[in-house]
Amino acid sequence: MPVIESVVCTFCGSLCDDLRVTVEQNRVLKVGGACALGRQKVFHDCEPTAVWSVEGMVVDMGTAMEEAARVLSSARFPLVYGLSTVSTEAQREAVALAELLGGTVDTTSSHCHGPSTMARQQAGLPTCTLGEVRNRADLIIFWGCNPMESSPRHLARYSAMAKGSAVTGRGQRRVVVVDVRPTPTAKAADEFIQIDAGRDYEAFTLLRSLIQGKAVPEDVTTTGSAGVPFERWARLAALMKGCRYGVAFFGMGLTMSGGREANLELLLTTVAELNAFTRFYAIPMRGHSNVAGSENVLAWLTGYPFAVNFSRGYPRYGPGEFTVVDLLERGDVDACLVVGADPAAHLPRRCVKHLESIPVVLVDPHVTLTTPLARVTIPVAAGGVGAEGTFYRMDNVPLRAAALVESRLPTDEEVIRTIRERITRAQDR
Amino acid sequence: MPGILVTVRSLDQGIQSVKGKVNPGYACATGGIWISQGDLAVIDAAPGSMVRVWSTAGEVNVPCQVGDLPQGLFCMPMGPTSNTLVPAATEGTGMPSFKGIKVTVEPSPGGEAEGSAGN
Repeated sequence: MPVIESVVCTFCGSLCDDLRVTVEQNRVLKVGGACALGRQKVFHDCEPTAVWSVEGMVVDMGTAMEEAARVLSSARFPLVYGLSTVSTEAQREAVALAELLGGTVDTTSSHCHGPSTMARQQAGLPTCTLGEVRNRADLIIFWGCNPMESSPRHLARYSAMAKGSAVTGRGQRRVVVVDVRPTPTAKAADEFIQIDAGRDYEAFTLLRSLIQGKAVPEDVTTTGSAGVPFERWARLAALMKGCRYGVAFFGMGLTMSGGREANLELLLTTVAELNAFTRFYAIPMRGHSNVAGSENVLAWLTGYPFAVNFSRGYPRYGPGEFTVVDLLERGDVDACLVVGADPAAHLPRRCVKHLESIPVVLVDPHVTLTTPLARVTIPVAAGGVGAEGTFYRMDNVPLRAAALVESRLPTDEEVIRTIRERITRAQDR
Repeated sequence: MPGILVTVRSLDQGIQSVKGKVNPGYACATGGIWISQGDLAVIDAAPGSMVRVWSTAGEVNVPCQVGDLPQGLFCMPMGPTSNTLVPAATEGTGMPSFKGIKVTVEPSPGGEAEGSAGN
């Protein structure tokens, strides 16, 4: 049976590109080398469940496209949202559509790693590729992230347990986890520092002082910081200064808790300063397969990574103003195009309530929790299974994902371009 | 009892999400709360029983499980049920507090599970 080698998995930001997929008569029979999540995703994406529909009635493709174009072009404040699981080609089309509409484009990044991207704009991102981590890193810190459950092959393929050229295995690496609870990743680490919830900024302040050799107040040396004895922080600071090649992976434990971008600004500053003593880098632990791509594409085209508004005819950037949660919470948006996202599952309930009150166009391979509140649903071929496309790994390395089977459905890119062309034609009349 | 709620990823939640979020398995994987053994004793709830959880944003009734957590910290899988408890305010960042939510938990005799976004 024909086996496709080096298949890119488009579930998470790790984009493992070593899957072996057996395909016969346009059907996937076996998925080798994937984690449980990736394997399930490939099989699920082989059989899209969404249908062309308008107000719950099954329609033909042309009718759904026409209604989508009508809904979006007649809105005063349309939002184009999602984009973290679709190809960069589709993301590019989505930005062009938002610009044509004079609307807003925002991605799931704004309620995922948006704060770390804001921090990066202030402090920079001293970073490296996952290949360098695999080959060189002898100290790996996971802070506020749990890849054993979110990106299950990360430890074996890129980080803690990977066999690299200079660092050849687990025994040559020190792995530290900082988290509020003993996660499966913490249990696989050499050291686990259990920090009090919401006190990361305090911990980074102490670590930074220790790394720079500054005096620490006596009450801190006595009582510790963030619920952790001082000696443990001193030991971590010594590990960070003394390693040959350190990498800090950081997750939503930092972006979603108190302090948000301030936590990350201090982490990235500390990592940059560590390079006075050794090599040290930071990588955001990104969840969706192309959420990193969404920030890259938006930045190429508009100058900004997310939360971009075109209502004045030029791009304006506004976290807190043009971000999806704020727009929906305030009730600003009067129509929404959702591409490759499920806001009914992932946004605060108050935001979902506003979505229920406005026309929503949903472009997705599957029936999701957002489907019942969508006026128009448009099925598409899933990227990396029914459609090819470019995806950006969490370290911003782009990979080309091939189609594994031939799909009867259009791609996200084709759908968005068709909607845009219909609106343009209508405006030209 | 009052405490801090942190919404988290779990392997089961991830697997169920790629099996299809409209399947009952997803509602089940995202419709519970982990509470430490000590806190379960404080509120006098048995593992598997229903508890009522509320914040300034809303309330849910969900089954509880024992979690390896410090006292006063509760965890729920990310998803529509826990999002009922997440306030939408972002403090100008775009990011709501999916973690660090002030909640109160109490036993909910006879309460029915949300199983979905609920109220």
